[in-house]
Amino acid sequence: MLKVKGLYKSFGNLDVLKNINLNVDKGKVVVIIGPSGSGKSTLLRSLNLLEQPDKGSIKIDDIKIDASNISKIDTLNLRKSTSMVFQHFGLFKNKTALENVMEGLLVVKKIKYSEAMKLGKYFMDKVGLPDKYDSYPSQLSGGQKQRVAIARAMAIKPKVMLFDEPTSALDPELVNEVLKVMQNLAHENMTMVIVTHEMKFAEKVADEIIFMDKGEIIDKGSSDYIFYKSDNPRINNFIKDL
Amino acid sequence: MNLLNINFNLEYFLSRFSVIGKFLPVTLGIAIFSMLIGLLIALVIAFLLDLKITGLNKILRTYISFFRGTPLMVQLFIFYFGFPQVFPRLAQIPIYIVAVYVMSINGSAYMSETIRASINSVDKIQLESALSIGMTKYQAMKRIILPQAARIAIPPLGNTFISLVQGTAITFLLGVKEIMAVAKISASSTYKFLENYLVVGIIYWIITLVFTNLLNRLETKMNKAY
Repeated sequence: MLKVKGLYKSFGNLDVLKNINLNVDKGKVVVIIGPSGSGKSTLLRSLNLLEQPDKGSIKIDDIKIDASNISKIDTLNLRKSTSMVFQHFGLFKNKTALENVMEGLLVVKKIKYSEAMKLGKYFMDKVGLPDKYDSYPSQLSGGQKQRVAIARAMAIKPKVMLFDEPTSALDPELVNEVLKVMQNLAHENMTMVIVTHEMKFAEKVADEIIFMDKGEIIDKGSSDYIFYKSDNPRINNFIKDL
Repeated sequence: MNLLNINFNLEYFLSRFSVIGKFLPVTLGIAIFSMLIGLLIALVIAFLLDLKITGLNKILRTYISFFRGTPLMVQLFIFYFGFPQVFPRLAQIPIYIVAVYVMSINGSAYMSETIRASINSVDKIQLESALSIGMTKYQAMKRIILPQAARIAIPPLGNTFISLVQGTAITFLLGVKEIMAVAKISASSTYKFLENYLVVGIIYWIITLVFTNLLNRLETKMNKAY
């Protein structure tokens, strides 16, 4: 359902993405790992067009984007079928947790207020925060914020959810509550692309693991293959150092 | 009140509040109109600066730099006495209007910076989050970024308003009959300088106190979420 072909991106002289090709089937969880600065986040952000790729194409079902000619409509359509969870949450600080989840429903999906409220509560419950509807982001812990962010991303019913190091900014004891929510999503066959440093989690949920280094996909395969069977020295070095 | 032979007429002093106070609407009118028009200009400038058009930015930067870098009095003199020398028709514009537009321009230079800084202070990731779920930039600005920027902008904008209120005192030099002008005229004709100027000072002070109080309440209300 998600097809990326020949994606390139550079910042000035730095080539961040070099010929990225990627296929994600419906309901699959793909985890991208690799050293810092390898282009993982940029790839993810490109899928949401928060970064404009220089070359290549992105296709989600019938929405096709070609980097050479990206229209505003295409951008909006692509963003409506993907949603992103950020390392630093990015909750709307002027809105309550529930309003955060409802925002996309009201503004993007144009759903009636009462209906959006019902859906918003449904997704808040789903991430285990039925008692935090009216809390503002400043009143939530990091883990709770990230769960609200996940609920907000789920609410627009995206075809693909993108996670950009969703637990990296959390205190260690809060990591698990977020991973659990993500695991539930995986069980419900949500299509996900996840950039993470949580290798145990990756091993558990990933249908496919992609190893990136220096802007390229070095290797990909099942977690069993990447973690235990690959003989690629760069991967082995990376995993050994964890 | 001449018992101790102090040359201060308390009765006269107290009576001046109503006389000078009568012209308070002029002072407040100039300040409020200058604030509103200035805010509008400031918003346009902030928006234009954000477009990052090199030539235009240079012009706007020069405008801001000039009006922040020169005294309000000098600006009033340039516009009121200076420009009509080159464009005689400008002389027909009433002093009140000149006062308002010069002070609007002056205020806009300060406020455009305030607005820009406030918008920049809202973390960029909230904009990205809004975009990532399919909101347009306009929707994101209107519903997420600007409400938060407004909260940050309110204290400095309040300060600008207080400066404008106090700045109106200078407009008497052009012949605007506001509270300072009335105080000055009475003082000169009666030699009761202290009474008159003290009254006008207290009136400015009260305006500032009342306004600051209102502002604090607004801030408390807007800070609820943070």
